[in-house]
Amino acid sequence: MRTMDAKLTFTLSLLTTLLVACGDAGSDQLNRGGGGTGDEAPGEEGTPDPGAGGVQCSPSKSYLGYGGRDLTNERTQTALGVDRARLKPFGALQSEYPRVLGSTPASLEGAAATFGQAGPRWYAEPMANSSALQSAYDIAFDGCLTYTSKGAEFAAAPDGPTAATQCGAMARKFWSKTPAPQEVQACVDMATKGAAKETDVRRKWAYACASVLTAAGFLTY
Amino acid sequence: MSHFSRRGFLKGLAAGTGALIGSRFPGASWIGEAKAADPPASVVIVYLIGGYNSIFASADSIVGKFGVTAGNHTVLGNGLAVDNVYANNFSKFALNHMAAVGVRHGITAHVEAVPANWSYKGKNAAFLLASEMGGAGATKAALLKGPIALGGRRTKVPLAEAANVSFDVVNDIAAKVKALGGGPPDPRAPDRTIALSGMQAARAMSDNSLQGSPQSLVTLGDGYDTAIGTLSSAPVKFDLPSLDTAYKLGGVTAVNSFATKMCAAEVMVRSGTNVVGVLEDGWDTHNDVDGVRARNKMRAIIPAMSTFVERMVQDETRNVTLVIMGDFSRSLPGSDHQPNLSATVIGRNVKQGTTGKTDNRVGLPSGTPNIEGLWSYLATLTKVPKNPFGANPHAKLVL
Repeated sequence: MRTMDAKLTFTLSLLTTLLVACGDAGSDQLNRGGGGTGDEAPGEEGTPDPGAGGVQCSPSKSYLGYGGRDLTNERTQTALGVDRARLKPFGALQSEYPRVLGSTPASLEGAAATFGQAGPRWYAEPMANSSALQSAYDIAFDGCLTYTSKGAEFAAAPDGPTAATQCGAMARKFWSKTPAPQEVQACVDMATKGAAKETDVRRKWAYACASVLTAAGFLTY
Repeated sequence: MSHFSRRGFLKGLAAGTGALIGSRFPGASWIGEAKAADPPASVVIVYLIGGYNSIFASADSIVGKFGVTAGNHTVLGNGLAVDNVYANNFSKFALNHMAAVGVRHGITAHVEAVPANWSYKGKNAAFLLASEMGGAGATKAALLKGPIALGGRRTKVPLAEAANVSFDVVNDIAAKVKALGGGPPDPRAPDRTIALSGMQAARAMSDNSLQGSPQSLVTLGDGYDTAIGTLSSAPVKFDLPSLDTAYKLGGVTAVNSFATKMCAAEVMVRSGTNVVGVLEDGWDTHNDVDGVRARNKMRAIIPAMSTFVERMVQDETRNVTLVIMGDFSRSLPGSDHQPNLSATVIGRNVKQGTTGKTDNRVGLPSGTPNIEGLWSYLATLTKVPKNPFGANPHAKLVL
């Protein structure tokens, strides 16, 4: 209970700090600082524009907590429109893979530890690491073998045009957004060059499919 | 309990926790060229979150306190005296290559001690050392931590603003072994060289996202780079059943016990990782006036450390150093927070002795160096050509 209490206290403190940070419109100001425009091209994120000035929360008040500690001195100042993406926790990925692939990769089972899944009634902000990403690629490939095992579109070896079509379609489906041209091209290159030594046509497609599923478009929201 | 299928449990990473704090420094190695002299060097730091009682580093100074008696500690030599939990469980080699290193940091708060102990001039000391050591390993620094209760409060530091040093958090031994190319053949697993292209493609597809969320996705970007480095490297083979037997894991591969952490540390050392942090929670032993809790807790973790010493530190083809430390020593009489620390260091280049001998109030002499002295000492033990922490003030503890 002691640890849960402390965790709860920490979380509540953090939430309180965040609420206080931007909740006092009378004294704190939202300034146009360095955020994205909101009109990004397909696939683009809110890239900060330091020169243009995006919206920032600029506190002018400080708030003292228990023990006289300044609750605002560790406040992070960032531009609006950036750092919006967050990694999906493993609990979300467990349903995301079958949702987009139509079947559950067998290798998904037992991968919770690799992804650092929090225990019951706990929440931990997910953090990526190389082992988890390699496992993500393995799981994706496993699922993509099934995904590409049927369908005429995966019956012939990928070439530039067919790869562009399928990569665009997979990215749109897996990421729930329209990919940027360079993102499609990375997938095309994978299908036509990266997997060149693979002789099985459907496995070749599966490699490209797995790379789309291991990209931030799928692993984050 | 989970088995090699990795079912079951893991209390995950607490947000914002971790002791390998990060800040980027220019010119650091990502993959890096070999800089440290042969044999290949690694430093494994067992960090006891909460504190580290000086009965394990300066027992003869506090006879009559913390339950220290004439019969339950051993004077090893050159001023070093340790509790018999060490004397009876570590190998002769370990005891002959053991030193107590004094750190007079003046800190009594956990929240300050953790970042201070892992920092050097505002930068991540572990990453700085890992970078300077160079070497061929794809992962330069690794963290093994498992569940950390209170971690968010005590170790409120950014974990993986991971500098220009490839960094990994290992959550599962079997997954890491597989990632290193040492897993069993699997027809539904991707070919390793094609998987490298796949990971590079995934990273290219993620560029926009990574640029748009440089902080919230920092671990994702570092993860891609480390994975690409790992897949670019030659596979490293492991004998998982042998590891399981050596560390008595009972088939568990999820890194959530001290034994699995030390086993994972061996995996990382064998794969060429320079600095490994092993975080173990639960060492804030207030009211432990007779030292019983500290001894019992140490008895629980010392078998895995001893196994690691015998398999890694005593391996003549390696230069592996094991460090045992915590936030600070425990103060008298109530086992509270002492503003200094006497860390234990075991390694083949360690000369038995002490600079961490306390007085009978667990105080250290006024000239005792701060934490940078310990880091400088560790760098010296690895034989890096250029010590990033300045001159080593613990020269008498080097063979």
